[in-house]
Formats: sequence, C-alpha cells, structure tokens
Amino acid sequence: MAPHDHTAPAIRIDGARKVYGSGATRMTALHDVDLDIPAGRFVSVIGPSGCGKSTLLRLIANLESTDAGSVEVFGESPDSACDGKHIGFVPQTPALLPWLNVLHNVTLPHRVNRRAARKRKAGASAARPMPDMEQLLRDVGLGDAMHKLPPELSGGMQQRVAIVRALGLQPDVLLMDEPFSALDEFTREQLQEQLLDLWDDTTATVVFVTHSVTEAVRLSDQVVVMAPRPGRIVDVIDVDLPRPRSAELMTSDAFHHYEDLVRQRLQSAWHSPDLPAAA
Amino acid sequence: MTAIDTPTPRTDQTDAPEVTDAPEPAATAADAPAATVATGTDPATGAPAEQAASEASATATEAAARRMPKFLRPSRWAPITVMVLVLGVLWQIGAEQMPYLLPPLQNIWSSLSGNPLFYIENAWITLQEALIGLAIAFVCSSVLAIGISEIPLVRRAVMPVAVVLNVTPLVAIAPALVVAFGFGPEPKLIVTALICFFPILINVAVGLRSVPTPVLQFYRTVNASRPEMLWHVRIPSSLPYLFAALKIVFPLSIVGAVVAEMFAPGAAEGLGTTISLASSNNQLQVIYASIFILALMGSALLAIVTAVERRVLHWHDTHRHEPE
Repeated sequence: MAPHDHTAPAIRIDGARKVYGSGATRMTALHDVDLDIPAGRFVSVIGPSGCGKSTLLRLIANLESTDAGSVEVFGESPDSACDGKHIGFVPQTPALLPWLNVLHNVTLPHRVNRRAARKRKAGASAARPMPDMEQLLRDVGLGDAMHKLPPELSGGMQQRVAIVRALGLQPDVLLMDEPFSALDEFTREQLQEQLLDLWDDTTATVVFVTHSVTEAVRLSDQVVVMAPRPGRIVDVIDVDLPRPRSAELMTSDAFHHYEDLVRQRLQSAWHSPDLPAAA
Repeated sequence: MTAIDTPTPRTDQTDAPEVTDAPEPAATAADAPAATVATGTDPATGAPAEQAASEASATATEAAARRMPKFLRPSRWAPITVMVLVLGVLWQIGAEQMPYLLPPLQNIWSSLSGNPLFYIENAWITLQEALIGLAIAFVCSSVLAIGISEIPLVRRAVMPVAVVLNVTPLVAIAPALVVAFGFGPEPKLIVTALICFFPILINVAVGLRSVPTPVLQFYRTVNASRPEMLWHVRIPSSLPYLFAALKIVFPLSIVGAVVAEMFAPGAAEGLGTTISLASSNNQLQVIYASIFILALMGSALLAIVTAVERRVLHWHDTHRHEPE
C-alpha cells in the first residue's frame, strides 16, 4: 500500500455497477461507471437526483458494495481503507452525537478502532501525529463552542464540526455527500471558503457530491457530470481556475464560463435518450 | 396534618403528572431561604454602617421577590389545592351517605396514626419485593435487549413474543406461581420481575436501534467495532427510551408486588396481604390507609426516576427547552 504514490490514482473505479430492487422495480443506480481520481485533487460529482452520485460516494466509503466491477482507494479495497482510517466522511446531515460536547464529538473517532492508528504508525510513510483538535476547532471559529452540545449550535456550525471531525482523522480521501445542501446561501459560501482553507493544509483527495453548479465550479479541480436512468458519467470537466478561489473570483467571466459549461452538459445529459435497460 | 390529603389514593392515576413536578420546586424551596440568610448575615460582618445593612436587606428582599419560585405563585398551587379540597369534601359526603362504600377520612387517619409501625413494616416489605423484582427485570431485560439489537436472528425470534407478552396481563400469573412456589417471597419477585421485564425489554431494544443512519454511516467509515458502537453510540441513544420505560415500570413494580401478595397471603406480609386480610374483616379504613401508602410510594418512586432522568438526559430535546 502506498498512499502517497502520486503516479497511481487515489481512487480507481472500474466498471462499477449497482442495481437496486428487481423485476418491475429494478433500478440501475450505476451502469458500468469508470472513473480515476488523481491524488490530491478536489473533485465534485454533480447531476440530477437519481443519477447515482450518492451511490458512487457510498461505494467509495464502503457503505455499499458493487454488484459488478471494482472500487479501489490507493490500491486497497474500500473496506481496508476504512479500517486504516484513510477515509473521512461528511454526511448530508451533521450526524453529531447530541450528548457529547463539540470537542468530544470530534475526538471520539480517534478513540474507536485504535488498531488503525497502530497500523498507520507501522507504515512509515503514513505515520503522522494526531492533530490538535482544539486548535483545529479554533481555526474554524468554533473556539467558544468547544464545550457546547451540538443542539445548541446553528446548522452551519454543526456542519463545521462534522467537517473538523472528518479532517481531524487526517484522511487520505475526504468524502462529502451534499454537506451544505441544508444551509442558507450565505452560510454555504462561508463554509465553502473555510473548507478550501482547511483543504489547503492537507494532502487529501476530495470527492464532493453536490447539486449546485456554482458550488461545484468554485470548489473543484474537476467536475464529474452524471445523468440518470441508468446512472452514468456523461462528462468530466477540468476547472482551470487559480487558487485560492476568493468570493471575487465567482463574479469573473472565467468562472461564469465554467458554470455555463457544466450547466450545458447537465442539460444535454437530461435530454439525452435513456440507455436501453442495462443487461 | 389535615385530612384533606388523604383522598390522594383515589386519584393516584390522575395525580401522576403533578407528582413529576415535585423534585424541582423542592430543590428551589431549599435554595431560596438559604440564599436570603446568606445575604442577610454578610453585611453584618462586613459593613458596620446601618444604612448599608438596610440597603443590603432591601436588595435581598427584592432579589427574593424576583426569584420567587414558580410553585409559590398562586397560579401554580391554587388549582391543585382546590381540587384536593373538593375531592376531600366529596369523599366525606360519600362516606356519610354510604358507610359501606367509603370510610370517613378521620377513621383512615386514626388507623394510620394509631399504629404507624405496622404500616411502615408492611410497606417496607412490599417496597423491597417491588425493587428487587424490578432490579432482576432490569438486568435480564437489558442483557436480552442488547442481544436482540445485535443479533438479527435473536431479534426476529424474540421481538414478536415480547410484544405479545407485553400486552398480556401478566399479574394474572400470580395464582399459578403461588401453586408452584408456595407462600414465600419467590412468587412475588417473579410476578414483579415479569411485569417489569417486557416494557424495559421493548423500549431498550428499540432505543438501541434508534441511532440515525448518517451517524451509523460515519462510524462505519472509521470501522468502529460493534462493542465500540454499542458503548459510545447505541447505549447513550437508548437512554431516553430506557427512562420512558422506567417511568412506567417503577410504579408498575408496586402493582406486581401487591397483587402477588394478595394471592399468597398467610405466611408472608406486606401491604397486599394487609389489604386482603382487612377486606375479610370489613376494615375499610385499613384498606384505604394501605392504598394511600401505596400511592405515596408509587409517586415517590416516579419522582425519583424523573429527577434522575433530568440529570442524565439534560442533553435530550425533552429536557433542553422545558416550557415555563
């Protein structure tokens, strides 16, 4: 296993197929999807609902398994990637434990599955000290909230805690499933900026599922456009915009160009004929 | 002590919510006088000037008025006081009209005050049976609930049976147990444990499975082991469900003990035995005195559970934004 071998892709998805139900209710969530994600990149997956973008993320996170094809994370199966705590997951809802204060919520993942830490230390290249979680919380403006319970925080603050919890694991792969979709526009843009700041200090590869074109273009090096019935990838667009991506950038012509490009691909994917039922 | 308190046994069911409020006012009542005394004595030692002292006492009374506990406000205590008075009067009228239906309150009181030791001893025996039976039920049902939650096969086998037994009036098993175990404490403990067992089992089993999917998903991505999930996530999640069960089961344990005693009088003692003996001797006042004590015990247990719940579940929605 070589987590920082930059010649190999961080995530390799090869002919992945996922089918739910059977007979009349049979639904092909993913139809033979191939995707290589290079290490250290920020990749967004966008598409209308039912296109399988969340399924794709759950396959990488080992929350589901493929019916055909394979998924590899740094050459490992998703299962062993999880076991080594190489994956940081941010679900759509913050999913914090209401009886633990913020600090305990973000440190609990370190206290479960301690085998992973030992395994990491054994592999020299993967050995990294555990970060100072209190400092990390202060960095995202949660210094005062550290000893509060999650229900006492706003939705935006809770989602920030969830991001710190995932990044605190110092994962090689950060998986985010529409993490900002429940937030208001202003909070969402703030968190996007904060996420980019945090990500700058890491080497993590990010897979970010979203249904917002602006969000995808602002955050990503690469936007993967998907279409439904059956779920498939229709295009991969490289976003060649300078970083750091400030709020001003979002009003530039270059930014609008990429937004239009992604929208156009989404439109054509929507109007493209459905593939014949997957065999 | 006035006789108006005694009708409580008649209203033990409807009284329950009121009783749950008891611990909080009790605590504030203990607080308030202590605080006033402290502010009153402080200036005496620190400030020689009279004016300062009177000023201090003025602010103290102001502060006391501002923080007058809610239960001292008439809107809080008046309704229940009037209710108790009305019930007391109705009781006395009923007792006068139909002496074989209700004993006069003063007879109940004289029976209680005439031989308090007799009632205390019997109440203690009943309480012991109730609590030991409940403890047995708690341990067994919690262990089985974890088994149900962790092993789907066990869940599919046990849950349907548990749901059926939970709605079966298990106190009816008391006579059968007397046949099997005689007149010792065993049938009482078994009946109490049985009727407490299923409410705890079902609630805890549901509570252990009440963890939201995203939480489970997150901890699955760090490969938390099943014992770790159980300890850090599932058991804390089940606590609100456990306390809901305990609030049902603590008063229920007394029901179990009393019913079992009624079916197995003779050698054993307890308030259930007292009631069934008094009934064959036409001693209505003894029956109602016993019922009154049983109601008090049930209310006290409920108050204790509620107080503990407030401390343990301070993080839970139901306790974070209490109205009033």
